[in-house]
Amino acid sequence: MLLTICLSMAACKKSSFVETNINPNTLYAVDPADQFLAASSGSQDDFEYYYDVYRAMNLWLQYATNGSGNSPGFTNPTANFNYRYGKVFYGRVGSYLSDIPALVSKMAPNDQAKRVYQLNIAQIFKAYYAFYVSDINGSIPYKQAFQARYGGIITPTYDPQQALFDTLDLQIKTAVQNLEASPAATQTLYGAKDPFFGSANDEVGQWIKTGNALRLKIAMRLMKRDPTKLAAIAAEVLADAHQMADNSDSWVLYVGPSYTNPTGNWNPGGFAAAKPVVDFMMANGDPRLRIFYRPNKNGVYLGSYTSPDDVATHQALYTTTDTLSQLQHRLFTPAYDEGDGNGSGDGVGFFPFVTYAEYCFIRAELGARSITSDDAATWYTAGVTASIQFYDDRAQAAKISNYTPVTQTEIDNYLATAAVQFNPAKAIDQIASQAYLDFFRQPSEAWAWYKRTGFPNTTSVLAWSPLTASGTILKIPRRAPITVLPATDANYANQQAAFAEMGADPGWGTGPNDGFGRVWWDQQ
Amino acid sequence: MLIAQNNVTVSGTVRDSAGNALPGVTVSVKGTKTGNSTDDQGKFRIVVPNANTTLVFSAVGFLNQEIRVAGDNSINIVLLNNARDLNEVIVTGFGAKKDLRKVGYSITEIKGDEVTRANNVNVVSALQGKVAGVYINQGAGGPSSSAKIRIRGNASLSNNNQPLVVLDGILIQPGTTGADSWGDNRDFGNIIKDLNPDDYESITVLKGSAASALYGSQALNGVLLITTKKGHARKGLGVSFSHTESFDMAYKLPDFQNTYGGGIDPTFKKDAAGNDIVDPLTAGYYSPVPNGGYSFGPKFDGHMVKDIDGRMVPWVANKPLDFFQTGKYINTNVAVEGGNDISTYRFSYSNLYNSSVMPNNDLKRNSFTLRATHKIGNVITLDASVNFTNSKIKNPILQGGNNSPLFAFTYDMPRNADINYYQHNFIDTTLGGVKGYASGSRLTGDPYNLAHTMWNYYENNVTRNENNLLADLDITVRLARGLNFLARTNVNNYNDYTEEKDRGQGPAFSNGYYSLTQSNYRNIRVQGVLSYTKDLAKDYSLNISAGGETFRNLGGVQTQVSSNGGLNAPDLFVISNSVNSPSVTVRNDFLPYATKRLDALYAYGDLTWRNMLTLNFSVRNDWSSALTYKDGHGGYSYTYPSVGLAWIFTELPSFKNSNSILSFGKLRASLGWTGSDADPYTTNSTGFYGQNGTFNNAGNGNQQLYTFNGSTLGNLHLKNQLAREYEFGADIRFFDNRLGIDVAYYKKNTFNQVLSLGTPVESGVSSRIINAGNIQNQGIEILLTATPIKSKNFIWNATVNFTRNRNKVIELAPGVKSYTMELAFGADVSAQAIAGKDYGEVVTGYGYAIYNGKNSAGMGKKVLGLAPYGTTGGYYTYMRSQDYDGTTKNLGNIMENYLASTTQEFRYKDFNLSFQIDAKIGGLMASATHQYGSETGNLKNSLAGRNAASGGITYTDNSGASHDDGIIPDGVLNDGIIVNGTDLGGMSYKDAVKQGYLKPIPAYAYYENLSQWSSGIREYSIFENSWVALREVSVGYNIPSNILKKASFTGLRVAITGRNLLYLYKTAKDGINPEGFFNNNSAGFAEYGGLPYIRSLGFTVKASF
Repeated sequence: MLLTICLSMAACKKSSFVETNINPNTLYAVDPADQFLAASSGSQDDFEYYYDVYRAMNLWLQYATNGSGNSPGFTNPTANFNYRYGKVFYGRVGSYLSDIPALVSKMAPNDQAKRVYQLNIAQIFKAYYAFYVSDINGSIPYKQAFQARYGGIITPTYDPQQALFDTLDLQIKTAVQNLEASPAATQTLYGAKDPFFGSANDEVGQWIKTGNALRLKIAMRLMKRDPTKLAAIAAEVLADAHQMADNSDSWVLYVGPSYTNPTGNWNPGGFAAAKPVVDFMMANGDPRLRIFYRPNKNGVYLGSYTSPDDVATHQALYTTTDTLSQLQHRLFTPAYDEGDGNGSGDGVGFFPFVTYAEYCFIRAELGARSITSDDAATWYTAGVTASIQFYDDRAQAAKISNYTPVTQTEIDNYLATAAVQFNPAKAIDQIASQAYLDFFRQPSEAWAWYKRTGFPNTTSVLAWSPLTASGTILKIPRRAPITVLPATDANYANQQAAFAEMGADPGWGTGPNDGFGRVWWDQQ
Repeated sequence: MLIAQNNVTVSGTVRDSAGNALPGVTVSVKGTKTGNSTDDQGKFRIVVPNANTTLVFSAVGFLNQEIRVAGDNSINIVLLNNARDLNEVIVTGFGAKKDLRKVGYSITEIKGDEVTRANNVNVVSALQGKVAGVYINQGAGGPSSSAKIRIRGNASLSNNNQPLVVLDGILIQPGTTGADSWGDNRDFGNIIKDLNPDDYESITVLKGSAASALYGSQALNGVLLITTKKGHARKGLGVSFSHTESFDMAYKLPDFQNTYGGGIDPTFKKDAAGNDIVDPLTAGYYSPVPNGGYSFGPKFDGHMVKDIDGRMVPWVANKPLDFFQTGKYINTNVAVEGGNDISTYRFSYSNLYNSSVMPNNDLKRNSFTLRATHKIGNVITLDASVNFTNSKIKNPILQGGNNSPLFAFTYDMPRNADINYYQHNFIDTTLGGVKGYASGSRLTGDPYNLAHTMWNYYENNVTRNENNLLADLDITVRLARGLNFLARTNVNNYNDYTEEKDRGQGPAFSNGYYSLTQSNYRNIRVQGVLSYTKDLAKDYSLNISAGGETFRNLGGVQTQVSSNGGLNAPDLFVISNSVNSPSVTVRNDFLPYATKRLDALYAYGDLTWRNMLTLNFSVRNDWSSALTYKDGHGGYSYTYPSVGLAWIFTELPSFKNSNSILSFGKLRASLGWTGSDADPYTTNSTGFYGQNGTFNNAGNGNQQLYTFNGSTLGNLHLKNQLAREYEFGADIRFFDNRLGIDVAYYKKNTFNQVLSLGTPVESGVSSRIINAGNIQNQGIEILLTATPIKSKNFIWNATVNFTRNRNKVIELAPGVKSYTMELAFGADVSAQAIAGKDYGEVVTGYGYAIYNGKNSAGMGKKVLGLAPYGTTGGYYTYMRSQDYDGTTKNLGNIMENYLASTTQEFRYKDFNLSFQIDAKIGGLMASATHQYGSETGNLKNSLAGRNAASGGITYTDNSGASHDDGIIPDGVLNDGIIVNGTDLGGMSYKDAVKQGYLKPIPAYAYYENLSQWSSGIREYSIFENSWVALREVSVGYNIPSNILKKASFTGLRVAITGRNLLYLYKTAKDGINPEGFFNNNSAGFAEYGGLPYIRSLGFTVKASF
């Protein structure tokens, strides 16, 4: 009766049901700048640090060893490698940045006109990250990726790396051109929601320089596969007036102390400084030694053997606590409690994407190889200097305990040592060795340089230890082992097609999960 | 002279087997119409013609009992429940009582006494093994822990397939609780623990869709209908009292080895003073040599040695069982009832204290129940009930991580680690905080991490205080003869607050932590039903009802405030004592805090012909807010019909007059639909935007992030989930009902699952909501009942339940072949739904790799090689399939093949004895305790090969020393393993040793590599979990009334009950607890720390005045 009436009314009033089902926490639109900030914030990942950086690349590239010494299997890449692929790129950075054009397209036409710069800055960021992922994965879905939210395909095909690099270069080039143009509408910028350059005087100008440097960086990968294209891109980029000129132009994500939880996966504790790097830096007075590593309990720097066979014969080093130097904790996680009674740190952390020092080393190498007319010595020296100054700045900002800032004298002395002073006969070796030191916080880039140039090696200026286990030489991986999707997966067929395409080159290895195989650019 | 035929007066009391007085029992003289019935105190008085007269006692729901008077003037009778009474009336549908004869589907009713006998906080746990077709697993997180209940398989792939609980018309949806595969969590349990079985008259289990179709969208997983006790019209006040004390004893652990202590070396090193020392390098938890905590050291012999922390201790194995205490279950209930023809009332109060075998863990519950009925004239009847429960839970056991007790005692914990010492000495008495923290040396301060573990048990206290109010008012109006209107209104009002107080492990007790979490929610239901009963014509009778209801989740909020960066003043647990500004989290976007509205209209009834053939039918239409969209579209209205037929063929004339052994026969057939809607907000929230944390920028400011509110793609066309079930059954009795068999066959298919389905992440989302699929449950339930012996003084009743359910995933969605439901070992192992296979396939890439390389001799063997993160000692070990060739393995299925149980009940005069055995056969289980406990040599499974006596092979190491702890793994070497220029790929390790390429592997390294985190084979710790348990034994005695009279009792019963006494059979490996699961999720199949085996023994005293 009463109820029946109520119900018949309710049945008519669907709106009251709809109202009940509204989630107060849901937003139905955001500003493109919000997605840009989310992508920036999401570009770093604790699992990537835990597995890829601390427990794989840092060890393979002899920046550090396990605290208990490297084990015989330490160069084997694992299924827990390559977090950049699924979690970071497809899960966060790529998907957030791909939403920016979609958000803009929903705006009124006159509002859309104000967002040209935002679209193109997002394009540079997205292209970079796609490159970073493809760099160790080879073919990846890109053109058809990120479409599910917009009614598009959920099973994107893979772009072969060669085609992808062309696509990315064109996208960055176009973005730079668009940023250099002056649209009629006053542009809305990301401003405070751009943690890279939002606070710079000229946010757009910074992105133009970044775009140019990024094109060079990607083009360098073509050195063996397509040197002609590398030369063409280098010439085109260097003809542009907007070039990186000092460390303030570096594309780096700067973060606060709580961005990286020092006791979680970000924890850089439990790793020892690697002997080859420590020995080189000590021998030549590299001021970055005190930035990269911590002295041991006796106040001296002692590096850990990187070869498992050496670990076996030096067990005493590994069975007494704090005998070996460790990674400089706060350079990775500024909040690290150093146990010195001062508690957690509150410094600034950093994650380099493309630094001015790297840009210098690229130009030095281009000059040394006569691909451009750059003077290798000048750019090399500028690179070393920029790198030391950059890390000195970072060490101070990270508030490393008891840190003594670097002096110009120290840099001058270092540059004057035989190993460091530019020697045209060893140009590529020296440039790569110094780039290697500079890539202390970008081991992935050091890995790429190693694959491309063959430096460092056991006879280079900065000499690695030969790695052996039970006398067998250990190889260093060259790409990510790729997890084969189960046959039940929706994108199984596309992945298989990509495997077939990449596997056509015997260098790709024995199968998808062969981390010792190579991607397209890494030609034998 | 003939003996005079003198009339004799006989009197006495009739009680049920739990000692409750039974009013209204018919007492008649056999073969005559002379009769009487018992009064409200179960007493009777009857005049019989002579001393040889036989009396017949009969009552609905009980077995008839015949007693020869034989000269006794006083006779006390206990009537046994008759589960299969022909004229049984059971509670069904919306709580109405219905003649079982007319029911066209399988239905089971459990009496309240059977539930309370279990002496368990959790009413669901108490149902274990009592109902065919129902699987129950008790929680392992202490008294508050949730049990898992599953009726006729998993109808959906969601993690919650628990039935709807209806308590006197109040709808309660139990949630899932517990840990996950990642780390420590406490199981405070779901709302079931706030229900008090002391007040329950009965629990009816509605299994099939036809039985539960009236509950429509809420009945996908079946229904438990609970009816509370009412007062009765009687003279004076009835008082009943019961008191139970039961003791929980931890009686068994995994199979620890007690032969070898800490270290790797079988001989002691000595300190400067000549003492034997425990090797800090290999025995300590924080030891630098790979993982430490090894138990491959010297044999235990009891002599004094110097422990790592410097104490002189006897060299003996620890006794982890001694850590656990005797748990106590103490429950006292007092109920007062009374009434007359107009009004009745019953007030009951229960006080429960249940401490766990785990120290510092308990539950306290106070329950108040008032039920009152009142008639206003002949027209209106009021029936009101109020249940209020307050539960206080302290420190549910940490599960699923390093602090779960068994895990803490097995993982990297050498057998000599002095648990008992650290249990009482974990605080740094000089510097404050936990041992080994302030001093800066964890190795010497807390060498086995036990101080830190004990800290978590004793100094990090979490308490929750729950208040649950359930109130219902039913108003029945008699409109005309046979026509009634019921108006029902009820409310469930819940709130809790949880406090966590960590004293602070740092120096001077710094780094403390305090958090306060409060939550509340409220649900209401308003229902109206018009019912009409009529005998039509000569042969027909009709019941028909129509009505409607609205059920509203009015929502609520969960708010957590916690300290940040420690507490300024130690031991001051208030938020304002936080070092940094406190953190605040507010959640209101999921059940039970989210809002939802479900309206329904329904009609149902039955039509019976000649008391022989009954047609049941129901139809319900639901309107659910959860299926509406913001823009107003959405198919939110949908229908669930049901139809059933019951045919009592023994009512046919040909049976009626025959002398067949068949005494009753009924055939049943039914078809019904139930279903479900979606979680609230799914339609309007998924795929949009929201706040997503903050970005701590270089200026140390926190910028709010606004981005996608998840990586799941929404679905704009969600429909209701729909389950269709048909059922055929038979209920046949023989020999005057002394032997009965009830068989049910059912097939249930659930369509349109609302699932978040994994999607190629490259598409920009990692999952999407789909609305598809077909999950099938098909099974047979058999219930056998028998009364093999029935005499004046001795009765034997037996029941046997058997269940076979096959839970199959027919299809998921077009193009979709698998769906991950539950994880174990982090994400190393998963339970999946794979199209075409049974529910719960166990899939892992961490199983043994099988050789498929270039040497044909090695094909099909386990592969040996190095692990990605290295192996202990650099020795080769079994490779995982995903590291070998990138493949995953399917190890089998988590679902049981069969469930069976039996209850045997014997009564001799005033004594009764019953026992219950139940069994689960088949189904895989994963155990992290097994995996990580095997790692460092703590379990017996690592005894083989440690020395020559135990099968170890003698070999000479590279330094020329001889050892006898060599093990040769059973497998072949991976391709590319080159020794002295020879590729050993495909060669067996045995041959490689024989040919001098390799040496045997030291036992400690072999076992560690087999089961450690970084290289272990999870398949090694996944095994079949079948068991047969002696679940319950109960012995009771009713004090005869001639004794009682002197003490003014009307009834007094004492009983002793043992629960979970032992496993008669089990297949879980190496002593792992077969029922130690860390959550009650549907597809949960993993143990991670668990608890010891626990049995309980207790007594109950029940008295009535």
